[in-house]
Amino acid sequence: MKRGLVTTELPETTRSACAARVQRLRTRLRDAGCDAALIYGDVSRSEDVHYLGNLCLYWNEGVLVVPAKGEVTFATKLSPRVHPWMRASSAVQELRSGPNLSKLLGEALGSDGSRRVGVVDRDWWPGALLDDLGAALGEMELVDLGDAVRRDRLAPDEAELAQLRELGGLAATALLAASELEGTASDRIAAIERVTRAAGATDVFTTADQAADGSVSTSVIVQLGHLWLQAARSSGGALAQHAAAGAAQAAAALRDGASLASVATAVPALASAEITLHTACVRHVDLGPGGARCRAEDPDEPLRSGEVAAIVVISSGPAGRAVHADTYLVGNESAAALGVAAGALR
Amino acid sequence: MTAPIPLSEGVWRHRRLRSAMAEAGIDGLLAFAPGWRRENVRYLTGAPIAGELAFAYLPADGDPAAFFVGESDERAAREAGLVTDIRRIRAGDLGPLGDRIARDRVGRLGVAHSELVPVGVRRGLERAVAGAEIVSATALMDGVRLVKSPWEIEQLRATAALCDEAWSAFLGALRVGIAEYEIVAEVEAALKARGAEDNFMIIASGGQEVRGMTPPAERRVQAGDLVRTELTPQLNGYWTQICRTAVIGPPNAGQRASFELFEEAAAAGLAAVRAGVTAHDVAVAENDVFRRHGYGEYCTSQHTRVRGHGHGLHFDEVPIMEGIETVLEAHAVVIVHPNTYTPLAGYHVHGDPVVVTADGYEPLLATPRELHEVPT
Repeated sequence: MKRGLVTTELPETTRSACAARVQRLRTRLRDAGCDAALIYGDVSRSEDVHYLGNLCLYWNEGVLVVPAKGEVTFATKLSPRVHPWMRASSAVQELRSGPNLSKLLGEALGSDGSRRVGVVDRDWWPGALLDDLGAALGEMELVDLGDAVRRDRLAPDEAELAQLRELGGLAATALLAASELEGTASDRIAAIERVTRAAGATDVFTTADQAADGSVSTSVIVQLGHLWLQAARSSGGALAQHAAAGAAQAAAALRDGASLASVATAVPALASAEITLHTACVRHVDLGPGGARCRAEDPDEPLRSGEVAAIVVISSGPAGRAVHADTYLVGNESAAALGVAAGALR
Repeated sequence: MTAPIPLSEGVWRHRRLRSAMAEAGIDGLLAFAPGWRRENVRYLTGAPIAGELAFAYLPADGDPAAFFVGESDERAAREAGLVTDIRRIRAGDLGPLGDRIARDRVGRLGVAHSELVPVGVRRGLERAVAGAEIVSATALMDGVRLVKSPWEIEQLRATAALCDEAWSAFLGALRVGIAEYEIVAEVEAALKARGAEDNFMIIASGGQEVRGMTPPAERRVQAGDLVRTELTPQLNGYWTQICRTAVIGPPNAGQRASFELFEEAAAAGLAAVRAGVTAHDVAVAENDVFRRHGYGEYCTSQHTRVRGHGHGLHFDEVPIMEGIETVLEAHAVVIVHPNTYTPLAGYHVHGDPVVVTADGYEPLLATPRELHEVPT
């Protein structure tokens, strides 16, 4: 579950940003001839819901209803007792709670008179919920809107970019605090938890490795609102050196027009006779609690200037593994790390 | 770091599952794990998986198998050692899973958490296991996991000891002026330093106006506040919860009365626990205390959710509520917590996890059930 800071003093800029995002989605709805859009979220995959409504789904499931006209509604399995908190912490004021989401959605859509309803990211909806929804909606037509909201999130706006830079700086501070410890892997993870959560991170996931060749790695995936950022550093052994060198090679290949596949293959799979390298490039909208989400995406689709992507290089061999990762803003000719300057951390 | 799981534990689990499968007429069991409900795949594999798409499979006869999208999950399963047939899949290609199930000629496949399988993955699953009838096995696995093995109870005892430490860290962090999210940061650091994998934690500070708990906000603790938390660390896969309320400075009359009411309800609920009673019986024992004191209306869904719940590889297993007739068998582990709002002092949180025994229960926590007073 998410247990980082969720502010209940929502700034007006956040409300207006959500309103603008909802308006963009409504334009897509009109183009698709839909009366409403439905966006599903659960605690591990709710960035679209957060993006549109600044709603933190800290546990359980819910569906955001964005009608072409009228109030945005959130239907959730969370108790109505948290409605006051949701209203204070989000841009959504119309809330419906109950154990049966399809029933709640049927009521919300029925009262709007919707006839044709768009389902965002239909393939990632729980099948049973979509079956129940189809039955509850009767004559209403459900159409797949694909990853319409994710696509809107691909290139962050200025405010989001500022937040990503803040996350990058936070990850750097946390990794530095961990690197200065002489303690165990658990101590390094604890240091990262303390630094990131005390700074107001929404969520954080940390791993720590100690290889037999002396390489010590710490990796952090940290969230602020709907934005995720990944960073990792390793030091002390050959595995760490190879991971860092591979990451530099991959970063050099990241620019407008490069693809996830071309960045990954810029790094040779074999670093030495015994050490292999696994390189991944992930759009920031596809990062989640466990790292890269398992979206079936075309690996050759080009990244464009203004998008943000993480590069993760794992070196492994008989001695163990080491990890090096950064998140970058893609530019026309190169990419710039967000917050973590190369060589700034041991 | 997670503790190694003995192979005998896998044998014990497989035997129980196969017995339940036979009773349900299922000749193959497939556990599905989305990113937020991994307990069934962990039960079968023993692995601390982190990805958002994983399956584990147990045939009526023969070796179990597991299927992962990510390399780290595959590695975790190999290290855990309960399953040796481990294969990689992609979200759009469940072919290796279908191959294995076809090899076993499964006619009726039970899928645990079938209700959470995404539309696109379900399409692939139906293609991959074409010919097999697919039925839900969510309740089947919930029922099997309800009763813990001796090894599992050891893990839950260890997590309970971590709950005691976490509560000490929580009290240590409390002071006038600290923000709720800063308290959580301190508790998380303390838990992770002691090896916790994860933690479920909600919190609320303030007075009589507090109606429930949520993630932490920026609100700063004030003298006279009650600070309530459900703190639920996970260690070696197993979750255990402590529910306590602290008061900043000396408690007022309403806060004292609230504590006495909730302690009486918790004690009544615990006194009802023994093998063979139902979740309903325990909830009634707790709620009757509120009803007797004129606070029965605060036991409804308008003010509270459950009167406790099971623990294990998921922190919120069998719900303890009036109307839930699940029998609490010996070696089930549950927390009894009459948490709710009353006008006495606002939302109050108070409860203990226990192991159900033939004639009562084994308490898991060392922390006393008190209204903990934090000096100002």
